[in-house]
Amino acid sequence: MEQTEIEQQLIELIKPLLDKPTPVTADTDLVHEVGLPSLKVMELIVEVEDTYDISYPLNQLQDVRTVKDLAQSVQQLMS
Amino acid sequence: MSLFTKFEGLAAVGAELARSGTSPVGVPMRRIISPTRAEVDGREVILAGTNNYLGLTMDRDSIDAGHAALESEGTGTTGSRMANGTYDSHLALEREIADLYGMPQAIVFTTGYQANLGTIATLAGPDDILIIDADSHASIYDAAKLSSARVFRFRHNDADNLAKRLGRLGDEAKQCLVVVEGIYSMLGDQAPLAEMVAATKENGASLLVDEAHSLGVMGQRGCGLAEEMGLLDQIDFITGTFSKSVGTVGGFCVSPHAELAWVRNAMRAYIFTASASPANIASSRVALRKLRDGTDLRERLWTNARRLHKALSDMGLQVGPQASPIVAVMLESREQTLTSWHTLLEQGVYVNLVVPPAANLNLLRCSVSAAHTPEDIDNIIAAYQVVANQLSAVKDAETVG
Repeated sequence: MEQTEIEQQLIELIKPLLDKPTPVTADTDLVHEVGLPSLKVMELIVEVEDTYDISYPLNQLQDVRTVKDLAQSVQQLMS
Repeated sequence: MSLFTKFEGLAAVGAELARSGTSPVGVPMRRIISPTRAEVDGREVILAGTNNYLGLTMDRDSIDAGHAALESEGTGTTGSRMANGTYDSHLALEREIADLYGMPQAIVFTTGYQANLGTIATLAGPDDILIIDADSHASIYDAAKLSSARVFRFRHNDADNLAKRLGRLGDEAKQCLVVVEGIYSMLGDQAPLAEMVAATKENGASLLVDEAHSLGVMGQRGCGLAEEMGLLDQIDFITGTFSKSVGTVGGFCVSPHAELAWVRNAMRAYIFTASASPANIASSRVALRKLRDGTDLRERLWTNARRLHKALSDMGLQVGPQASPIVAVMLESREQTLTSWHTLLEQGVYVNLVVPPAANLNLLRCSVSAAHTPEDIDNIIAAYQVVANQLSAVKDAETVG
């Protein structure tokens, strides 16, 4: 799967987790721009794991800031 | 931007809680009257949020034993278990816990938090894998952070979800430690342990059960959920705490694997901290015997638990999925939870307030004790009825509005 395709799917998964509608792009910083608290990030990871049928290591989250970073790590885990 | 900037959100929540009057965060217990009574905010209240499941904090024999040890061995050990902090009484307590579980050995830690930190973070090394329940206690999350293992979570109490993750690991599952809890501390629900054991064994992984809230509460000898389910011989590691049903402070790990002895002196949370004080150990030993023999206490505890769970559920309050000594009521917002907490206190009942970010839920968390009398439970129910009435009045007003 193309990374950009994963990015678009991730954006759709992120939107319902936001308190108020905020534009999200591949370069959006998940914590600092849309203010996703750590508990919501955890929810997102559960959704990501189910969507792509992967196990996402929590340790890998510390390197993830943007949607693009997340898409990249998802793609790696799928390969 | 300063070191403190990141705490602004937390400070705002604290300020909001304080504006409401007595803050539920660290509310001062002015005078302890009994395991179920204290003076809070100038009035005597029923304590219904203390995890004092068997009411042993004021047990006469336990107090006397602590007193005697204080006189004979002093106020503290001033050292690590690995150096000068292992007294005969620490070793005796370890033997007694091992005997209680019918396992070759136990390790005693200074707190329950350290028992999880030491055991989990040390067992799972850089080449290993940790799989934890999504609703795990903070000590398990912190252990996962401290461990250099790869960490995965599975959906709360979902054995199929766990099996899926173990299956993806293939052969690596043999180097995986799965961590579950006997009774979960927020909603009081139990792990489906037989299914968890099956998923873990099938894939060749190891299973750790944290019995913090189920020790003394479940099983004929009070060992916890694994004993209750007849699965003690299927579990690789059990951790627990003395700070709930035992009524003191401390923690432990037991295991059927003799190799646990190799791990002891690699646990940083065991080595780099002072051992528990002699008085604490002496009281714990007595309380543990009372816990083992306390089938009558467990009976009273569960009678109280079932009664309160049913009464709150009948009131239309949203309670946890199964009856348990932890009876939690889920509410919709922080404001609603805070108002209800104050109402309970005004009615003379102290419970725990749980709001984000401590958990992803707004809860009035109540824990019952074997020491609560039937009248205490009547009074707790009556106080919750006032809350239920307030909530439905607000709902009616919203509907009309």
